[in-house]
Amino acid sequence: MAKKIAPTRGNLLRVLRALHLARKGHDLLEQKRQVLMMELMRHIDRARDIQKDMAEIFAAAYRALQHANVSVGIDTVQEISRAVPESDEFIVRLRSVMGVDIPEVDPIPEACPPGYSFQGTSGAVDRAFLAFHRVRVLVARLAEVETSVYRLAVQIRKTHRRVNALEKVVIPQYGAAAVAIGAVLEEGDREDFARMKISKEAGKKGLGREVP
Amino acid sequence: MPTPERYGYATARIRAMERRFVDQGVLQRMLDAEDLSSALKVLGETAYAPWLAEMKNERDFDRPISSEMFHCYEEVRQFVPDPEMGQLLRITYDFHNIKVILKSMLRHRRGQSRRWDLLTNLASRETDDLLAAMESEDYRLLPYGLSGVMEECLSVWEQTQDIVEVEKRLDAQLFRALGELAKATAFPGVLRWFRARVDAENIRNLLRLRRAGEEGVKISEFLHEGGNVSLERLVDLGSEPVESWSRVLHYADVAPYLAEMGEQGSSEAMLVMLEKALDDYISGMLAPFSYTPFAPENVLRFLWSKEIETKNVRIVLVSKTSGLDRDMVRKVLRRV
Repeated sequence: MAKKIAPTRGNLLRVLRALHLARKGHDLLEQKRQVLMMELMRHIDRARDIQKDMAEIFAAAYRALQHANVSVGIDTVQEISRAVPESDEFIVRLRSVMGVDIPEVDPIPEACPPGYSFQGTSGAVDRAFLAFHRVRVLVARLAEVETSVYRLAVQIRKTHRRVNALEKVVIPQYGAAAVAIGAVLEEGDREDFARMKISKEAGKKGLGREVP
Repeated sequence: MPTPERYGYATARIRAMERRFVDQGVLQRMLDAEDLSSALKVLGETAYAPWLAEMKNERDFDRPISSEMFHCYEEVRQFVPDPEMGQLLRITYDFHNIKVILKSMLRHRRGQSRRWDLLTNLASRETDDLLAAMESEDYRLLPYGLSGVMEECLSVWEQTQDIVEVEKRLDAQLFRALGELAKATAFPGVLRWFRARVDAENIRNLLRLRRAGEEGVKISEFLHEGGNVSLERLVDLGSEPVESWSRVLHYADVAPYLAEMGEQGSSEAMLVMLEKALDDYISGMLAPFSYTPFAPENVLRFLWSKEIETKNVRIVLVSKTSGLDRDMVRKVLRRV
């Protein structure tokens, strides 16, 4: 329910200022929403490409792992995997788009030196190692894109809600209040005008009676 | 000085043991089997049958394979006149165990679990002895000249935290120790086998390093001395196209096997075929000794063939668990 505002000139000015601010905010939020939507669409296209690659690269990596298992045995592959160092090369930087922190992972080099010695291993193990390195590169890109999409989507929803609130509630309310106050004030002005007219008329008539 | 005449009994025993080999027909039937259980049933008709009962589940097929190999090594050890002959192939398992123990120790320092399950009983030295020597840091007790190398390895690890550098030093020591063992036997065939083994390892490493984009000095770090082909020639070979390797190394025994590889299309297929060709090269190098009745090299030939046989059995069984294409698997099976 709309708050009752006293119909004064001060309140009218306050309401008009608030209305002006709300309209400006609405325009800005609308622009922000459009920019975020454009950024989101760009990321969604990237995510779609990456997810398509993901299926292929994961399938290739698992196929390479199967070949490595066949080549040197499952236990040996397990033993080799222990020599591979844990990856700590992910560097994440944040870029601000309309106040939303979009993560950017520094590119991981495609070339990767083997993390194990060659004795007791085979070319199939090298292939599996490289295939999983590609998976790692892709996972970093996917994490970047998915986090960006998630953050953008959350921000777009918030912005959308704010735009709607301004458009559907705040601006009409202030508009209505301004109209109502304006109407009351105009009514008051008209009443004052009429009252002044009447008193002026009454004054004229009274003077006429007193002066013979 | 060992004399070949002492190998009459050993050769006769080996002839008898060779009859227990899994032949191509059995491998083919295993490969054509519908699933893993059917393949294991076929394996049950071979010398592996007594060990199949040890399996905890169907996928535990590494256990019977190891048991059969261990049984062969132990049997050969009992009748072979020179213990070095038995150690020539088991030494790689000793080094495998050393690597497992070392990595477990390094993992343990970082608060991670140890993986003793990856140790193998195929080594020539008791695992407990290696473990005791490593845990007590009394590296003098380590065999095969590892005492000096281990300290170097740990120092490298402290400085670089790079396990590849550590493993490289252990691999280099493995080939040094293998060379010393081969020299200790003083049999020409064994020395030829050692040189062929070094060549095979070097050529394989060379192709793998090329695929990884490595060059020059980096390549030489992964190569071992003692082969028929000098290290300088191998490093130079790194800049040549793979198709011309057989021509450049025309003087070496390995050349005809490299010529087969040049016909492969992709580099991946090339590497797979190269690994097979190099195993076949060593098998082919040992094969003529089967016609010499009392040649000590027959012991080595038998053990090498057994290793190749277990490799083939493992390839077939793993391919059954993974459901890999039969034709692809058929291509990688080695000649026994």
